[in-house]
Amino acid sequence: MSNHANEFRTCPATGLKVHMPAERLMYVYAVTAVVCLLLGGVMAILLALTRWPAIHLLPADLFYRFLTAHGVNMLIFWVVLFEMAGVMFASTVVLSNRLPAPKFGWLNFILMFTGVIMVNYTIFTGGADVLFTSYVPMKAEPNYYLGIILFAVGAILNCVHFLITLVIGRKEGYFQGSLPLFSYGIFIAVVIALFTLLAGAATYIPVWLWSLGVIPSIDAELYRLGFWGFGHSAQQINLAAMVSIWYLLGTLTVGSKPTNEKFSRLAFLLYLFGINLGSVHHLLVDPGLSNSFRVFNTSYLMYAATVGSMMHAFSIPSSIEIAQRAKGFTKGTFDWLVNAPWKEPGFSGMFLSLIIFGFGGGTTGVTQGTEQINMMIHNTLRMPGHFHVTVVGGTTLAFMALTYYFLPLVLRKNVIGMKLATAQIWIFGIGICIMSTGMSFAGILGVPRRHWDVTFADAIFQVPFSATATTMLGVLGIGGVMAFVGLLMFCLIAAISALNPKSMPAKMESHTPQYAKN
Amino acid sequence: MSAEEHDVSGTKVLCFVWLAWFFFLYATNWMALSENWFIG
Repeated sequence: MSNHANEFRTCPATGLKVHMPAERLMYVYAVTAVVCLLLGGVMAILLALTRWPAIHLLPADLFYRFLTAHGVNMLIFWVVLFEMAGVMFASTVVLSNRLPAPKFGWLNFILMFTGVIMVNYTIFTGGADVLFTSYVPMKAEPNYYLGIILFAVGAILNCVHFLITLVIGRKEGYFQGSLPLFSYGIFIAVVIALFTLLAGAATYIPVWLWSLGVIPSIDAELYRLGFWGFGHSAQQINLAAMVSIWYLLGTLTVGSKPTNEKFSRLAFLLYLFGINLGSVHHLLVDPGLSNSFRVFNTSYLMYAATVGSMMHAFSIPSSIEIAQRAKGFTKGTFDWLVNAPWKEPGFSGMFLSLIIFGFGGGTTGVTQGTEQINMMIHNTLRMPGHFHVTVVGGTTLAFMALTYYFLPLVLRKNVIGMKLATAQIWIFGIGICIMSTGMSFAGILGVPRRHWDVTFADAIFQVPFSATATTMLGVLGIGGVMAFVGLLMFCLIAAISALNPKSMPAKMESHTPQYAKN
Repeated sequence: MSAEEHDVSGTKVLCFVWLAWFFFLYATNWMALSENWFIG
């Protein structure tokens, strides 16, 4: 019998085997992720209330400090930490597999956690008012860069751990054949994560040495090229993870199966080969890059990934439709959708995330990613209007929806208030849509992004905006308040449920590799 | 699997709605940028 046979419990709902050392690690990753989400969310509401001209809450210095904290905590810490829990879930629980090196897993977590603490400490003590992009020659204190490096290294090692887990699991016979679609999607996310995080480490290490005084200067253009290999690509990890979660939630909520697995796998492959190159839209005015390079990357190659998204956009609803029709919801065109389990936060969150991402995030991304439009709108509020319906309305909402399944299935914690959880999903989703609408239309009317005072009250030359633009900034504020309420509800439900000392009993059962060769 | 079990007519409608929305967005984006046609 395997030495690890007694380290497993059986999930009473799914019958999957959960390796207890992996469960503990997933718990700490998920809890730390939610803490970062809360921190980033508090920053978000303060920023929204500052962009709302009628309130204009924060002074200028705090606005930029909190904008830095908001960007780093939301775009990097919250999503990547949650994905680390997802990566572990995909390689162990889904495959009834064991985590081969739990101590290595803890080392990676400690590296990432140390990074989170160092970065936030440096930001809140005023040592890194450089915004998420930290473009040189703006310089932060060395610990800011070191914190991000530690976080990236921890994440890289965790991705390597994921690959090792798959290789050892197959060798020992815990699973055989192709990976299930969810694990395959996460595998694609991990491959994207590896070159994204390596780009991050390669970019931040020289800047860290520069801030220490070891290197005299940094080439601003080279920094931007490297940074966007990290900063934008990190959002593509989210994309692959989010789509994988949509498939998983479809299965968990209505019992759907992918309409055609090969079709969905091909769509994931298109992400791998096409999507990261779209990040060149950040570099459209950088003189060191040739025009052909920019046009090629922001058009042809970006569309390869877009086709991938369109394939998923057909595959996921169609698999849900087939599953629902098989249950007898066959009247008319939309009987299957009307009678879907909307009262379950998992389904509501998944479908809402799909709609917000598909109709809002994807379409605005393709439109604004093209060279001609991007040249005109990149520094306006239209750009944040786009990525708040991708990373927040899409990814974050999908992660929230999964959390309501993650808590009982993986962490053995009952979710308190499922009705409240469903309400939370809708409040958050609608709030983000309102906020992004305000941002997008204000941006169309020329309102700049990342700016403390768009009225330019103290400037010599006044830049008047139309009343509509001011109204749209108010819409941004109202949506922001609503989304923040939804976010707070999520954090409270997740925290109270996760920190409840009463866990569902672990049904410990011996588990040996099913396909082991004797 | 029979043709009935493969019925995804609802999804097809959703896809066409999405396509119409995308073309609308793309076209109006161009106009909005040149003359703020979209919302005046």
